[in-house]
Amino acid sequence: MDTQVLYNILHQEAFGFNIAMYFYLTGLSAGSFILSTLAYGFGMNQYKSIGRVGVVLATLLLVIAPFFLLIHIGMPHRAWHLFVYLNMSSPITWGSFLLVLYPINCIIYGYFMFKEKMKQTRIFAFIGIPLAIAVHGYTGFILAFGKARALWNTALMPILFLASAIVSGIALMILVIIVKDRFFTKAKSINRDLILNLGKLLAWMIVFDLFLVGSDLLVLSISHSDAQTAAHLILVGKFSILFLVIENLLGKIIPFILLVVPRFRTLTTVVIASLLVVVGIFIMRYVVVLAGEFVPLL
Amino acid sequence: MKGKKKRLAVLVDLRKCIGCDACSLACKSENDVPLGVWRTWVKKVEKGQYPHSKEFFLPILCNNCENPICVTVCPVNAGIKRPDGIVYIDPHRCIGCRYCMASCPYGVRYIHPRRKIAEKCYWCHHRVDAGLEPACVQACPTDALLFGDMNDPESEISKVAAENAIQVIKPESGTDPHTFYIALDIDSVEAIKSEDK
Amino acid sequence: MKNGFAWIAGTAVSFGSTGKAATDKQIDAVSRTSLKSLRAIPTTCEQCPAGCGVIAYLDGEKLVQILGNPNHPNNQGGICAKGIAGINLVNDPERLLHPLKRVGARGSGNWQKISWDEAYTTLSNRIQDMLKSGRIAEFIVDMGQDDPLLARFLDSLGTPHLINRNILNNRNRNAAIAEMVGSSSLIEDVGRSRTILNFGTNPFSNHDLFIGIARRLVLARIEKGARLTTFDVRMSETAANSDTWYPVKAGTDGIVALAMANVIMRRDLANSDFIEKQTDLSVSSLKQLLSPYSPEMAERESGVKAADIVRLAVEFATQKPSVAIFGGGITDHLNGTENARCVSLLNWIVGNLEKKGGLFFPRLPGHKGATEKPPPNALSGLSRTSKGITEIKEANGRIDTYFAYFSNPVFSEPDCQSTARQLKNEKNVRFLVVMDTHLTETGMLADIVLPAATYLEGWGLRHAPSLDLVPIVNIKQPAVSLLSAATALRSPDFTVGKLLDPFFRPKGEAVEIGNVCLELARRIKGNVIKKLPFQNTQEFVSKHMSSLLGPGTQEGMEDLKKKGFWIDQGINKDSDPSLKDTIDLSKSPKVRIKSQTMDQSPLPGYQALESHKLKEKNEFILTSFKSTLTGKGMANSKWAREIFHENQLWMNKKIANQMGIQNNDKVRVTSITGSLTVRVLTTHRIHPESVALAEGFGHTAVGNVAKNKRFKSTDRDTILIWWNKKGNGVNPMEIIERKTDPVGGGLGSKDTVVRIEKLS
Ligand SMILES: Nc1nc2c(c(=O)[nH]1)N[C@H]1C(S)=C(S)[C@@H](COP(=O)(O)OP(=O)(O)OC[C@H]3O[C@@H](n4cnc5c(=O)[nH]c(N)nc54)[C@H](O)[C@@H]3O)O[C@H]1N2
Ligand SMILES: Nc1nc2c(c(=O)[nH]1)N[C@H]1C(S)=C(S)[C@@H](COP(=O)(O)OP(=O)(O)OC[C@H]3O[C@@H](n4cnc5c(=O)[nH]c(N)nc54)[C@H](O)[C@@H]3O)O[C@H]1N2
Ligand code: SF4
Ligand code: SF4
Ligand code: SF4
Ligand code: SF4
Ligand code: SF4
Ligand SMILES: [Mo]
Repeated sequence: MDTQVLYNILHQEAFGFNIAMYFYLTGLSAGSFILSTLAYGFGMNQYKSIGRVGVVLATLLLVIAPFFLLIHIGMPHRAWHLFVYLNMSSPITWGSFLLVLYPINCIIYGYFMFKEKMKQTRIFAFIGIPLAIAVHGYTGFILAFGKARALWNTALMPILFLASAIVSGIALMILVIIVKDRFFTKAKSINRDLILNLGKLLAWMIVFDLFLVGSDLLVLSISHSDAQTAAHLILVGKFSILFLVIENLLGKIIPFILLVVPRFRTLTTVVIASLLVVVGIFIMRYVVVLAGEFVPLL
Repeated sequence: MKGKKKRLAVLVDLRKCIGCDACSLACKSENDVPLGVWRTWVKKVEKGQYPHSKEFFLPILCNNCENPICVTVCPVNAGIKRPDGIVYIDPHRCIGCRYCMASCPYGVRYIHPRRKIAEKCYWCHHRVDAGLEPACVQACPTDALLFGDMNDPESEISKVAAENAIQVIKPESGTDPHTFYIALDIDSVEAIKSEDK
Repeated sequence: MKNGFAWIAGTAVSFGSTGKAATDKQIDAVSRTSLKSLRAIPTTCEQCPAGCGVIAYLDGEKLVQILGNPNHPNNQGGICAKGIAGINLVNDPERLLHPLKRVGARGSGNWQKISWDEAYTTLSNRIQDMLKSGRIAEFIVDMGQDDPLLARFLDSLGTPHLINRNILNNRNRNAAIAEMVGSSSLIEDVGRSRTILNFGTNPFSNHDLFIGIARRLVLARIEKGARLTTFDVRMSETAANSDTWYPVKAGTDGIVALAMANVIMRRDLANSDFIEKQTDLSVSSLKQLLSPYSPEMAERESGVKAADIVRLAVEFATQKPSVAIFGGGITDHLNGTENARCVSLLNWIVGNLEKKGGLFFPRLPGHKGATEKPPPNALSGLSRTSKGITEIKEANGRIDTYFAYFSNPVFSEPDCQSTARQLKNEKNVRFLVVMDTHLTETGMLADIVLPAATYLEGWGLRHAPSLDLVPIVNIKQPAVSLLSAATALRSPDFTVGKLLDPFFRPKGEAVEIGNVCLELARRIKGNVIKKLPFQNTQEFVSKHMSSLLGPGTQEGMEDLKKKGFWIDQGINKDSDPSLKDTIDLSKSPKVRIKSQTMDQSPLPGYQALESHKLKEKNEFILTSFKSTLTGKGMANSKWAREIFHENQLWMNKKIANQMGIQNNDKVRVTSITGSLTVRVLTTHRIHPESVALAEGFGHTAVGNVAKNKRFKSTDRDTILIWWNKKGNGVNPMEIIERKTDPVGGGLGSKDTVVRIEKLS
């Protein structure tokens, strides 16, 4: 059928770059936090040295992230409304609390960690884990509640967001540790084993992430027409280069290969892989947010 | 009869719509809607091959849904659904987070370029409360737009609705829209999934 | 339904009750912000000839809304986008607010503010000079709209040259109808028809009676099951909402109508009684006249299938009431007068005069004993109509002073660039005065420009052609005031209290044309002032009205201001045939199918247009058409331009693709007159041999909105113009040839053949 829209209005963008950036930063924060609990919560001592880095990153990133929200909202001076006029059916309301509780917990957790009070650290690590999951998971719900947007409106969204959060968290962690060890420690030596270990962890998280992305795509491409349109948009359409090449090939598959093929496994490749992942996950946020609302609704 | 509570609705008889845009302009002036954003607009779609082609006009406005997702997701309860069904935004409360825009399946909300808060068609409740019809309904030269109480069997709108097959746009959205259409063409609803913007 | 009331009057009312006034429906409105009720001023829309009754709503002093007057019998509460956009016209920050005098060469665009006094002196001196030296014929008045005081003024001067755009632009149609029935317009009673054949008019977007007709057509079709069939070269809004659209080859409607008439006659489905008694031809001679026009022949010429022609003809003759209507689509051709006569013939053979659901003579208001003649009809106007400036020059006419009021020939005449050259040449036109609401393309060439009050700022009377045989007089009263402080102080009805009146707000110096005429008359004196013995337009309107209403009418006038129009109850129906509900046709002159004056073609026939036999694959016939969102007073409307700001060239998709042209590609369109570059809209809604352009685009003056420019002004919206990067379309008149139909003398503005080349 030959059909042509002769006139329609241009719709404003609901969520744009700022929101993608906000999602990205909360993701990095949650990922870093969870990594830091490997040692301090679960006692995996080989990861001990990243605990401190993790908590500092988690806190810092989560202090920066809301600024992107404030830039995004039209009435930043009314942000206090979020704490007064609560609507428990809105994920953003959940977020308002999480955005307060989570950094507070991070600070306490970090405080005990730096004071080497292991018991208390552990308690706040376990309080922090659900908070970290929630603080990033809720952003997944924000999108999932965008019911008209096929790319967003999936129950996978929160878990997809978490997986990518951890992926990006590990990669960032690797980079930060290398920079820290290389330039800010007296020894200037890098803990190679730790990095390679983290690399492996990263590789398997990438597999999990790819599995989720793949499931999502599979279902999208056989689902209703809006979903198919969305799949088309990211597979062959306007966002295909960003999605296929940058986010998945450069951002996940190549790093995975670099990380798991023993022949490639060196510090340099881990750094390259991590860099690629950090960029790739940002592109993932960008694609989800912008491609999600690219197709007009009417 | 009058026992049932009021449920206001709009009925668009597309057989009568001539695509004249009087509704769009009436709304711009009634509600001081700035350039670049719209509370109602008339989408125009061409379909079919020459000479069996056709043009469809589709006036679009807020559905003032029974289950408004825009209200569900507003973090500050700025979206309010009145007992008579009108959904409006409290301009003093809205923080302009755009979540309602992202979630409404109909794309009828916008951020006012100067006031920076969300706005949309609210069936001109300032007029309705004064016993008048919404401005676009009043303007429509061919009576393609009807407004009234769907729960009152004596009202014009429920009579017309009873006598005709009525549809809503995207019933699958689950918001229970209350802007009804007669002779809705499904392809004119569908966004053309072309990527050139 | 307007305010929940069933629509009455018009279509639903039987003959007996036509004289009754419509009900008194509420005209309230409330302010969105303060919830206070708004001041409602009923007046008349003049954005197009339809003259709908509208209510202007004011919040304090600001005009905030215009909606239809629910009591007005023609538009019955409906309004169109242009009617609402009157707000943009009045509140436009780019309006011309002061008289200006050119500085430097003509067209250089440098201006100096002058006083009205200086403008009046200059103008009255020139007119006096021309009067004294017997050269008043060198005074050219180019008017885009009738005005009763302007008409009187011109009358009193003797014989100035008058270019009446209303008549000029519809000359073929007027000539055809006037020749046949003696009245230059007929009322099409579509609201009560069952079968409506539409040849080339687009009443769902624009029409001389736009909203009144559109409303009746839609309601007849949807609520009463009437069938509407549209012939058009493209799918107009009307075609889109018709039961069937027949894409017809441009300029061939005449033969389709003749073939239909032939079928009706051959099958003896015609109204023989009417033909024999009411027309000047007999059934047999008509049959003979029509016999050559077979449906097959019509199919070959027009592309409309013979079987369809036969079926539609039978339907037209049997499913009565039926009516054939037509517009610019068939009359703006070199065979336009013939086309109009051919389609009219369809009406005559089914006996469609003074018949319910058919055609009616317009009903004019005016009691017996009225001292005043009714104000001019929006469709008639003065009879002294010359052609455009080109023809005046060709006839070696000398032009002393050219006064353009409400007219922008440099933009809207065919081959408008040559019009511009004529007007720019100081040897051709010694003095050019333009009175308009904006600095138009024509204004840019003027020696003096005068700021015109808009229709929402002045007084006036206009009798709207009534669609329901109830004679109506529309009143126009100022909703907003644009008086200058100085004029206000001098005004005879000025009182100090007035300063507190929210009406009174000197913002600029715009003046109504009527008041300009009165002031000129006062300065010219003599015979002129005798014929214009009024202080101002308001006095003229009330005097005029009281003579229509009869004695003791002060109250009547107040009542009128509250209603916005007056319905003539027709007390003296017996003596004045034009007031009657039904006209006794046996006493009126016969319908003249055979013309006494059209020597080239005494009998209606089909004349194929040679130029339309296209020779090359890239040749097309260029159609221009009007859109809902363009027209008088609309060029600088931000709301209209936001929706429609660029006119693309419609091209049949299949043909375009064969030529390698895709949607949005740029092409060069070339005619004998010139060429322009435009983006293409490939569509399945146009005849393969036609291309089409909406008129009203490609402005180079008027204002930044018309030019699609973003700018800062007192209107906070103008900085939000988001479509500024698109260019503002093209003006088809730049490439439309200036050719006239030899029979009726009207322009063949939909006939230009153009070549199309893809630009890469
Ligand atoms: N919105 C708006 N309304 C207006 C006006 C305005 O500018 N804007 N102007 C007013 C004035 S001044 C006038 S004169 C009227 C004019 O009203 P119309 O006469 O109805 O208008 P046009 O646009 O000239 O032509 C009508 C149709 O003729 C078609 N056409 C072109 N060539 C042919 C042909 O060969 N055969 C057939 N069958 N159709 C053909 C065109 O595609 C177009 O759709 O409108 C009045 N109303
Ligand atoms: N391509 C193409 N061109 C056409 C036609 C076509 O079908 N196609 N149709 C032709 C026809 S039928 C017509 S009638 C003409 C129309 O052509 P014009 O009569 O030139 O009509 P407009 O340009 O719409 O308006 C004339 C001027 O009136 C001014 N004006 C608006 N409101 C007021 C007011 O209240 N007071 C004063 N003083 N001035 C005001 C406007 O600013 C404008 O400059 O166009 C003709 N030109
Ligand atoms: S149409 Fe959209 S904005 Fe309107 S009530 Fe429904 S969900 Fe809310
Ligand atoms: S933009 Fe305003 S109305 Fe919409 S969700 Fe945010 S706060 Fe609520
Ligand atoms: S009901 Fe009022 S707000 Fe809604 S579209 Fe109509 S005029 Fe605009
Ligand atoms: S005003 Fe009425 S006829 Fe015109 S576009 Fe709107 S709904 Fe359609
Ligand atoms: S049809 Fe003409 S007169 Fe009536 S509202 Fe529209 S522009 Fe005004
Ligand atoms: Mo016209």
